[in-house]
Amino acid sequence: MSNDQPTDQPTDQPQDQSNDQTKDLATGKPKIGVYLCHCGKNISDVVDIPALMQSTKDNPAVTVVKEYKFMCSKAGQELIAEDIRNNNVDRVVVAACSPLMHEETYRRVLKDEGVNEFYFEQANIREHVSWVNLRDKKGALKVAHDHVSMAIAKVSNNAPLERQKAKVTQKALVVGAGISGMFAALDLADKYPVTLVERSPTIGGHMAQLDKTFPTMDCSACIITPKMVEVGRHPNIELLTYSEIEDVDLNIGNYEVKIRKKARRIDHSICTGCGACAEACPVTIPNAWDMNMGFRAAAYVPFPQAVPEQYTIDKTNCIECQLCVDACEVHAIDLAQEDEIIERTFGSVILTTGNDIYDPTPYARYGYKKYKNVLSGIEMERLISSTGPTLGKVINPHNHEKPKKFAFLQCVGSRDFHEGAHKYCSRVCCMYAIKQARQLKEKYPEADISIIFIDIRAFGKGYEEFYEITSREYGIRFIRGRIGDVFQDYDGTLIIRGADTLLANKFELRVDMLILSTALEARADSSDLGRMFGVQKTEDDFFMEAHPKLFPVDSLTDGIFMAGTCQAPRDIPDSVAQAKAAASSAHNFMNSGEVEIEPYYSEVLPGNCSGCRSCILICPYDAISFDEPSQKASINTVKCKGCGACAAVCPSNAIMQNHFSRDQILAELASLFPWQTQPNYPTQEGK
Amino acid sequence: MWVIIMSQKSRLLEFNTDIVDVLSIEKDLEKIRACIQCGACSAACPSGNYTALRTRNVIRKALFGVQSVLEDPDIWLCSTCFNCYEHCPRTIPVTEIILSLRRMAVSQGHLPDPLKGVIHNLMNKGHAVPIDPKWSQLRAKLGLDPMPPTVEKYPEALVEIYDIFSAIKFNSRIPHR
Repeated sequence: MSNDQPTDQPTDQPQDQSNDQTKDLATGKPKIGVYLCHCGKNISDVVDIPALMQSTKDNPAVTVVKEYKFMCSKAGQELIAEDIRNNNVDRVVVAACSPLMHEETYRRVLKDEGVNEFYFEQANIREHVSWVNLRDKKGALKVAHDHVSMAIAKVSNNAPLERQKAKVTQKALVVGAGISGMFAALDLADKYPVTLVERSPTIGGHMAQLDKTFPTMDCSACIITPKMVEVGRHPNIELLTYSEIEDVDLNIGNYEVKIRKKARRIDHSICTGCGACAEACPVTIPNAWDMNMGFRAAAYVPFPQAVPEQYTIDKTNCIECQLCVDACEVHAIDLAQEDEIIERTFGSVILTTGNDIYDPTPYARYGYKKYKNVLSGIEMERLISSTGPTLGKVINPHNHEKPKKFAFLQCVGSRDFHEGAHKYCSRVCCMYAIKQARQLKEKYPEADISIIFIDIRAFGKGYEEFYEITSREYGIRFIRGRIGDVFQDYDGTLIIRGADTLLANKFELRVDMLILSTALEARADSSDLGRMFGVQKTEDDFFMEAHPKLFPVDSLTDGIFMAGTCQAPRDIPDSVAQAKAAASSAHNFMNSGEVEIEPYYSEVLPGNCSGCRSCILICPYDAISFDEPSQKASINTVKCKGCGACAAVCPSNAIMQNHFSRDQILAELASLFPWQTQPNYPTQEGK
Repeated sequence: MWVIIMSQKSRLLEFNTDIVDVLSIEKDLEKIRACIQCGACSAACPSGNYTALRTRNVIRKALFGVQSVLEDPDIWLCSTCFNCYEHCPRTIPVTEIILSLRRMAVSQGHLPDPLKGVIHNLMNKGHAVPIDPKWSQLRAKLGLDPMPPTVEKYPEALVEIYDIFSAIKFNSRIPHR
């Protein structure tokens, strides 16, 4: 190709002299400048740029065509600015990468030169053409030509638009008070009033359930409880535990949120947390916080260091015997308490709703729930924990004796492409299994421990060293392989049959307990919350960030951020780092007190509107309301995201979407299928 | 001494994609390329508890084009129970791959001896398992014709079987008579 050595200097092309006389902005036809970017070799290696230039020049609507190696560079931008300054060009098409990358860059050039920034179109000939047509250069040229001519048609029909500004409420909402939510709230609370909503009776999340944390082996409770107390005490944090988000009105910068504060049946302004109600309560049910291995009463705190350190009466299990009412010395118990709906307006929202833990029951071959001594990782964690149901003494659930031999099986529910399991790596299982193995060895030095793994993924800071020390000093047997079947012998020992891939042989292992290192998965009910906040989800059901690398804590809705394991499985250091990133992003968003909104909203042309309300039903953002006196629909331009659903559904063409109007889209289509709109157009081949 | 050793042909493995290219013709079998060698197939293999079959080894050899996979008896030890397919985290159709490998092995002339006997019977008597003299005697004792009405009784029907064999190109696939 002739573009192997693209010139560094911009090449000026002779302009169409006949257009020189029609320079007047008001009367003349639009002067469109088309700029073709080589993107290094990303585009020019596939798309024949000189041929594309020639075909673009043949387009009668175009005034100037230029090419440059990097249009996004300073020199490339200057190319556009110069043409605008010399009055050669008043509308611009850049054929380059995706508008997501550089639309803003070029719009700024137009703005700086005093041209309305919406007289600009970007034809994406990199992602949509060159990268996907590497082997078909002829086809790529054709598609590139289509993209460029569509952009030219669009830009000739563009109208000048102004961005509108909306006020931002200087208050933040954090949903979920696990380790991420707590850090996000604490970071923001120094500047803004923060409301922290948590649905369980205590804050702390999954981290509070853990006994120790890898790789430093520091006690989880010791590092999280001071932060929990800080959150509970902070004057700028409104802590709403045992509460859930009921409804959200997605008004950018002014999110109106309804929060349901569930009835705790105990007045927290009076409760001293003495525990008399729990002692009096005759109900005994499995404690979910201990993974149903311990027990609690219907009046309970999940664990001793809970924040708030006040009791809750579980409505579904309470038998209303009134014993606690008599036992309570301060008369805090009110069994007739009702749920309360709290309404607040927030400028930004941080979602830190965390993860669920995979239930390994579908893997019948591993015998979970069939044999009592097959446990999941989090159950083992509670069993080891000093606040757990056995106060840290590990017992074999089958015969309640001290177990001697343990096996850990990795990748249960993760890295599995079957239906119901997860394709991703859960990131923490390798390390928590090694950590638990080490804890067991510390408690019982004579224990015999095998970890059966596919790959040990020790990726974090200090993780590989932790793995090395654990295998060297603690004598833990690492078996690279997999388990086929698990049986139970008459005495309760488990017989594990598996394969050691490195010995290329099969083995049989007899152990007292088998621990399945289960995956982290998205919250089962995260779809509802995602829908309320307009946050999309990825294939694996976790919340989707705006860009996996460049906007890792942002959602596609302005002012809504996310952190922690609601977005992907991650460990504590990563969750905290993300929480702090989300807090600073939320601060950036709220700081100016104003937010610019893209003017892509739809507008109702009242003369055409018949008042059929089809648009109200279809609007996913609840942005359209019905004006009773005039019997017309009206659109809230701040809430409108410009999806265009209403414009498409309107039977009387009464809705016009800015920047994507009927004229603009039809002009684009006409340039794509000229033989359908122009009767004398030769043939498709003549293109 | 060293010179002799060094001058001999190296015994190191050489990798190629010959086998996997043939397997990849079928879209589903192409998944073999995604194998992470976790060993779930070996672990789940009931035959492997009693024989030398290591399913994971077979898959890896096939993936890397190690010719011995077609020559060794391992692939013939598979009972096609589909346990490996069910356990495979990458949903690779392991059993189908082994059956494909068997077809490749046969077309290259690697057929285990017991199977040669079966084919010999099929070719000469029209049955993979011909009638046992014990049963013939029992039939005679019960007053039946000692030879049931099968191809063995009517050798002229063998021609028909040959016709079927040539129609499905069985003859050309089995070089051993």
